[in-house]
Amino acid sequence: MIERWLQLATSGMNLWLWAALAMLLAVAPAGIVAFRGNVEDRLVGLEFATPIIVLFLVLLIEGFNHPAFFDLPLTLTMLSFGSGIVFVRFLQRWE
Amino acid sequence: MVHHFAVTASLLAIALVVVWLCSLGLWAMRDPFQRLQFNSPVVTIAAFCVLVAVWLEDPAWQSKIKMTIIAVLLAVMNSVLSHGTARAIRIRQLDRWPPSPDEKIPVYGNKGIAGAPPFAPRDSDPSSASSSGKPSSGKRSSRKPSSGER
Repeated sequence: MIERWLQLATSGMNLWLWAALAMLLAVAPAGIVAFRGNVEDRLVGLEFATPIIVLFLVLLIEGFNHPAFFDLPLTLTMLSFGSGIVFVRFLQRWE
Repeated sequence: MVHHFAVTASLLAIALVVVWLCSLGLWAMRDPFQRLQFNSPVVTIAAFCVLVAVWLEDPAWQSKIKMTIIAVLLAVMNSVLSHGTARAIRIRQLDRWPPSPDEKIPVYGNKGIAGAPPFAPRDSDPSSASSSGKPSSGKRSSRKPSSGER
């Protein structure tokens, strides 16, 4: 029963999708840091999680073989820089 | 083909190991300055490994070019963002950016003496002389900046 379930669950998986799954699990410690502690730790946790999400999206796109979707991680990369700068400015100025 | 698959699997494994180690390091550290250091391996080593894997496995030039742009942007922007974050955290915690003498941080251009900015006024500058007639030592005293200077 378990073997059939595993075979069914992993039938459409390839190397990139397994790597994407492992990459997604690595966000959990960053999420713990981002949801706990003071505001400095939360910002650092957020900045750490962003490139992992970008790499996760790249692995998903390669796994599903949709090269046109590369615009999504590219846009996320550029927007995350702007949002990070804004958060840093607010962290510095606001109590 | 098998050779390419093995190389791709190895590159992805290296990227995942780096990401997991940095993620656990981020979780284990207790200081935001320490935690900030773990961003760099992810955006350099892991992103470079994924970049090489995409160049090896994906035949589409669209993927290769966009992944290259992503890797370069991650590496460049993370360095700027890490510096800005560390600066903001320091100013938020200490209410100033320049180091104070008790921190014993060597500052370039001031003979290793902390507490003075690197571009201190020279002795020949008449505006830097004190009112008592003694020449200035060329070092500014560390002061707490006002809220408008932040």
